[in-house]
Amino acid sequence: MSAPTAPVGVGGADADAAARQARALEVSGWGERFTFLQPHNLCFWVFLGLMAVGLFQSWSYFRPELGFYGEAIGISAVLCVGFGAIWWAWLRHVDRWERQPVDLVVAAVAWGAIAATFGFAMTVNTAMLSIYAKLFGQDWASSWAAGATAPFTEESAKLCGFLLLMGLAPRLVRTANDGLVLGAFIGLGFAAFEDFLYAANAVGSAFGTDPVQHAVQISFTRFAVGFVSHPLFSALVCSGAVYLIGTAAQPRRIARGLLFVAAGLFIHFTWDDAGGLGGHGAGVFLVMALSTIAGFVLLTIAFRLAAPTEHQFVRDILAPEVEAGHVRADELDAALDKRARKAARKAAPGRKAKKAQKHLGRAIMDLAHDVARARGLETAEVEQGRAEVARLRSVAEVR
Amino acid sequence: MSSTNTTSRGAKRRVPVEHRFLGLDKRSFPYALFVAGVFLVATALIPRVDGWIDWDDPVRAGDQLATGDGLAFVPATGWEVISGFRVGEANAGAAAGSAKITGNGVVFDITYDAFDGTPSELLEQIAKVTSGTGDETFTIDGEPATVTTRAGDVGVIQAYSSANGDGLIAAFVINGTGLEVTAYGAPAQMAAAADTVHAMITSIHEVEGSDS
Repeated sequence: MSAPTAPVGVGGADADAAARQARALEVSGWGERFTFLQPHNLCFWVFLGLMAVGLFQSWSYFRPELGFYGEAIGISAVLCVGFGAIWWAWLRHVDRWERQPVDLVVAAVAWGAIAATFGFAMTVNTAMLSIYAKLFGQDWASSWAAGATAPFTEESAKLCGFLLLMGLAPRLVRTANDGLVLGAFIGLGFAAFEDFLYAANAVGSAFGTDPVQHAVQISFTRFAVGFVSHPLFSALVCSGAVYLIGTAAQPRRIARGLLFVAAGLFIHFTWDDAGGLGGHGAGVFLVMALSTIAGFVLLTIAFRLAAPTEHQFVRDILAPEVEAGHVRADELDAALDKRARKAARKAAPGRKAKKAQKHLGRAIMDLAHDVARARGLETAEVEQGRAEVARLRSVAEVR
Repeated sequence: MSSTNTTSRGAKRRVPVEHRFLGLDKRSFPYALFVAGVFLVATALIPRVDGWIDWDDPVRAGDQLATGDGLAFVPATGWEVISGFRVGEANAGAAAGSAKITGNGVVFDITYDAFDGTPSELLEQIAKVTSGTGDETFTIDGEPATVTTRAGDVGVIQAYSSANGDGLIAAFVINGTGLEVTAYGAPAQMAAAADTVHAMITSIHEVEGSDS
C-alpha cells in the first residue's frame, strides 16, 4: 500500500468542493476510527462496570442449572447465537451510509445482551411485576403488567447503552441514522439473550422430563416471532433520543424525538400485552400482526426522515470526486435517490447493464467510505475505489 | 461533547486541560452519570419500593386457587396469596404455572405442568431435578406415604430435608397434569400448621363445569 498523499487533481479542481468535503467529514464523523479502550472517559468505566454486573448476575442465574441441563442449555445457546448471526448479517447489510465500525457494533450487541438484560432488566422487571401484582392483583398483573413494565425498564436499559456509546464515540454516533442502526444492534443483543433465557427457562417444563425438546421448541418459537421485537423497538427509541439530545450533525427536534421514543414504547407495549389487548385466541395474533405492521411503517418513516442528512454527507464527501469527473452527478443521484435509481435502471440497455447499475451504486458508496477514511487524501484504496466505479460504469453502458 | 480523546487515526490524544477532572474527560460525565443514575433507580430504588409494599391479598372464605386446566385446591382462609389465580379469573385456565400462598410462617406452593407417569415417578423426577439444579442438599427422607384427596385422587407424600429448610412434598397426576405440592417453614410452624397443610393438600379437586 502506498503512503497517502495530498489530493492532486481533486484539490486543485475546486476549492469549494474540497471545503464541502472537509466540513462534511468534520461534522459527520465519516471515516473516524473507534477505540473502545478510553481510560479517560467515564463512560468507559461505567460501561465496563455494568457489563461486569450483568456477567456476574447471568452466571449466578445459570450456574445452578448448567450441570443438570447442560446439553439443553448448550443447544439453546447455539441456536440463539445462530439466529442472532442471521440478524447481524442483515443489519450490517442495511447499514449502508456511515458504516459503523465493527468494534462499536460489538460493544452495542454486548451491552444489549449482558448489561441491559441481566445488569438492569432482570432485577427491575422482577420488582415491577411484583409491585403490580401487589397493587392490582395477580389476574390484572398477568394480563397487563408485562406491557406496563418492559417498555419502560427494557427500553431505558437499552437506551443507557446507546448513551454510553454516544459518550464513547461522540463523533461517530451523532445522526438519527446512527440511532436507528446502533439501537437495532443493541436490541439484537437483547433479543438474542432474552430468547436464550426463555429457552433455558423452558428446560424445566413438564418437570424437566424432556429439556432438549422444550429448549429447541422455545428457541424456534422465539425466533419466529422475534423479528419484530427488540431491534425494532430500540431502533425507534435510540433514533428519537438523537433528535431529543441534538448533536453537531443533527439539530435538536424535540417533538420528533418524543414521537419516536413514544412510538418505540407503544409498539413494545402492544407487543408485550397482545394477550391483554386481544383477549385469547385470534385476537392476540391480530394485535401482534398490527403491531408488526405499525412497527415497520414507523421504522420506514424513521429511515426516510434520517436519510436526507446522510445523503448530503455523501454528496459533500464526494463533491471533489464529482468535480474531478471520477463520479458523475447523475450516477451519484442514482446511488442516493430511489427515483433516480429506478430511472437509471430502466434506461440501462439489457440485463447485464441493469445489474451493473445496481453494483455501480454500491461502488460509489464504497468510494465515499474510502475517501472518508483517507480524510480526502490520495490513497491506494481511493484509487481502487475510483477504478471500480469506472469499471462498473463501462459495464453499465455496454449495449 | 464535541471531541473524543482519540484522533481519527486512533492515536491517543490528551484531554484538554479545561475539560480534565481527576484525569477524566468532564465531557463524558453527563452520559455516564445519567446511566449510573438510571441503574441505581432500576436496581436499588425500585426493588426497595417493592420491599416496602406488603402483600395484601388474603384468601377469603369460598376462594379456590387454580392448579392447572380444570383443577383447583381450597387455600386456608386468611393466608396471603403470593401467586396464582382464583377459579373464575381470566388467567386461571393455564396448563402450567404455580400457586403460592403463605400463612403462619409456612409457605405452601403447588407447581403444575403436563406429566405422563405415576405420582411416584413424578416424585422421583422432582427429587432428581431439585437436587441437580442448585440444591444439592435436597433429599427425600424415608419411604413415601399414600395420600388421598377428598375427591378420591391418589398421590404420594414424603418429608424432605435441605440446607434451605425442611418440609413436605407431595405429588399427584390428575388427567395428565402433574402437581408438585411443597410446604415448608420452621419445624415449630410446620407442626402447628400440619392439619391446615393436610387439609389444603386433600382439597385438590377437579372444578365442575369450568375450564379452570
